[in-house]
Amino acid sequence: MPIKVRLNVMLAERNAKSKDLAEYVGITEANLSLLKQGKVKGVRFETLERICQFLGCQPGDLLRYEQDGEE
Amino acid sequence: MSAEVLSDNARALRLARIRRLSRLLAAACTATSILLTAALLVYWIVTPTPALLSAQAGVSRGYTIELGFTIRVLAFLISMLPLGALIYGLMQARHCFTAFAAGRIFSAESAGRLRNFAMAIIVSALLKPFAGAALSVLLSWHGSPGTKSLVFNIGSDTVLGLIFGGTVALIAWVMREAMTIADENAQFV
Repeated sequence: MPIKVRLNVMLAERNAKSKDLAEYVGITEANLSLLKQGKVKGVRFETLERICQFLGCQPGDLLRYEQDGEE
Repeated sequence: MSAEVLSDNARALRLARIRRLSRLLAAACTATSILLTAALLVYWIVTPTPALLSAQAGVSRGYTIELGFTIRVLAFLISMLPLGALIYGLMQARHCFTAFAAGRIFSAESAGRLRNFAMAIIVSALLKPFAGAALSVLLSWHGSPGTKSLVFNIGSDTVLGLIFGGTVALIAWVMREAMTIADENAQFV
């Protein structure tokens, strides 16, 4: 899929743990892991809002569009 | 108390009611299946020949012999064809209610059982006129000349059975589609 989730990068840049983010957002670590891998059908605005609150970023910072074949 | 907690409590109450009613209906399905079979058996064993001939073959006079045990057993078996399909449907409904009572409300199993119930109702409604025709031939076979009959009866109960079965089958189909949507929603985080 051309939409890439940059959650791992954002977490690493802020030295934050997935466990803490999952707890703050109110989702399971398993679901957060699926989200990080882009293996979900969609993200609720509520979830996006909590992630942005936790990481102090904009929704656009979490997603990136890459055309097929683009690294 | 927050609106979310109130909503959760109301949902829990609704679910408890669904479970109670499901347990009741599951028991009713079993009881009805047993009662229908027993009633049919008693009907074919104890009903006097004139009444049977009149009701099942449309023969009100001209019969010369009493219906024997073998004929009565055969008639019972023929009558059991549509009833058997109906009982199969009731057992499927019972499984469905048991799943509801166990809290498995939105499952592929329930939708499948509901579809089987609907198909059983349709098959039972379709078998009924044919079983009736077979019964009329069987019961009037030993009558005097001119009293043999073949009765093929399609009544409003057949049409209503088909409409009811079709309606439930459609609901089961919609349930399966709704489950696909629910599965997709479950993949939203």
